[in-house]
Amino acid sequence: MILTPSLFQVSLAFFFLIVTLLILRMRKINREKELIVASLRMTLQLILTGYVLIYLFENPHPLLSLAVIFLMTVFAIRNIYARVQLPLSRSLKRIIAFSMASGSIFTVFFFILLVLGVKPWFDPQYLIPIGGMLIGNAMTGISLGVTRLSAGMEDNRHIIETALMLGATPRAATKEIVDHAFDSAILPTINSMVGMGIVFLPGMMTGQILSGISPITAIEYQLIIMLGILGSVSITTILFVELGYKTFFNKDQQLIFSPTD
Amino acid sequence: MLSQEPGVFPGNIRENLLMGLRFSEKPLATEPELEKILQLVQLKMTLDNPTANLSLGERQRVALGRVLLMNPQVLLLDEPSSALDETTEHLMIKSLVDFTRKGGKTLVMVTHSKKVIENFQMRVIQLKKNQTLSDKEVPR
Repeated sequence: MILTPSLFQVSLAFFFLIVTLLILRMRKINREKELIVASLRMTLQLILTGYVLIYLFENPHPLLSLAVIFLMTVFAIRNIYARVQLPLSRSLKRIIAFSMASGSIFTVFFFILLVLGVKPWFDPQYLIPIGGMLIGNAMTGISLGVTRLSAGMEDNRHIIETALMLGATPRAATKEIVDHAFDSAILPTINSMVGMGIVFLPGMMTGQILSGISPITAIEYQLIIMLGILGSVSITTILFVELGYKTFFNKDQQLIFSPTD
Repeated sequence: MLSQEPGVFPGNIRENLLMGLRFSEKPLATEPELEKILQLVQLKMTLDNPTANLSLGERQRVALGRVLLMNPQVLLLDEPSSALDETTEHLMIKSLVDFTRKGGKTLVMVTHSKKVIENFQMRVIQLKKNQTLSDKEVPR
């Protein structure tokens, strides 16, 4: 039997929001406004997405599906720019956009066309949720990679210059920093793979089980989507770090002091 | 080329000395060659000593040794002995000058030490801002 919560039941879930607000008020933690805004945004965004998805599912069209994937990628790229708290050069921003777009779109289509074999390929029921998950996780991965790479270049400026003076190429001089940035970007994915199924049941799987799908099917989906996320994070991040470190050097292989161009 | 602030990589002295050769893809030095370089830069330590707890003067000498091991034809050194005491400075610059003379190399060195200039000068260029105050060759 599948339970469909009524509007009243959904509103009961807002009880948890009130509890959190009360805790914040009692402890005088200045976070109430943010929480209210976040809850409102979440509710409105989800309702809106629901209607958009209903429209898309009823009117499947390749251009519409592609437009959604395109918009997701653009929002993800903008989100990375906003989330990274470090100054980003224009060339680094271009590299972020390029790796995010090419890496995640490659993974999404590999997944849709080969792993799932969705027919027609633009079926919004598959393309949109899977695109969202793969693009969203790639976004988190690249954000981490950007932060680690930029901070690593800044903190190790002296040691990079020493290596350059000893005849190292920019690639050799920054190898450890680039590797560390990649490693930090994929570590959260690896950690969540370790805890998966035991420490927590991931949202997608929980959602499928609640809506009446057999746990076996839900697990199959979860397994392949996790591998897809791993691929999407590692492909976008390796593209980013491999191209990104070069933006810290000029054409004479000198380390640039302030990354502004 | 050696900057005034010596960049030393994590690890031990041996790995640091070999770093330049690795970066420039030259054949690595043997243990006796490494020991000889330590003597040349007046560093009385073992090759296994970790670099994390070296003093500034010791780091300067590791960095200089690393450059010398690469056997360059021209050496550009920015105050390589600024953190050394007078005696060690004298001994180190002396072996450095001997090393460059024997090998027929060119050594360009920036220094604020009058003692170093008096003892080892060949051609001294005095600079102030962007102007040359004096440029004299000293016959030996």
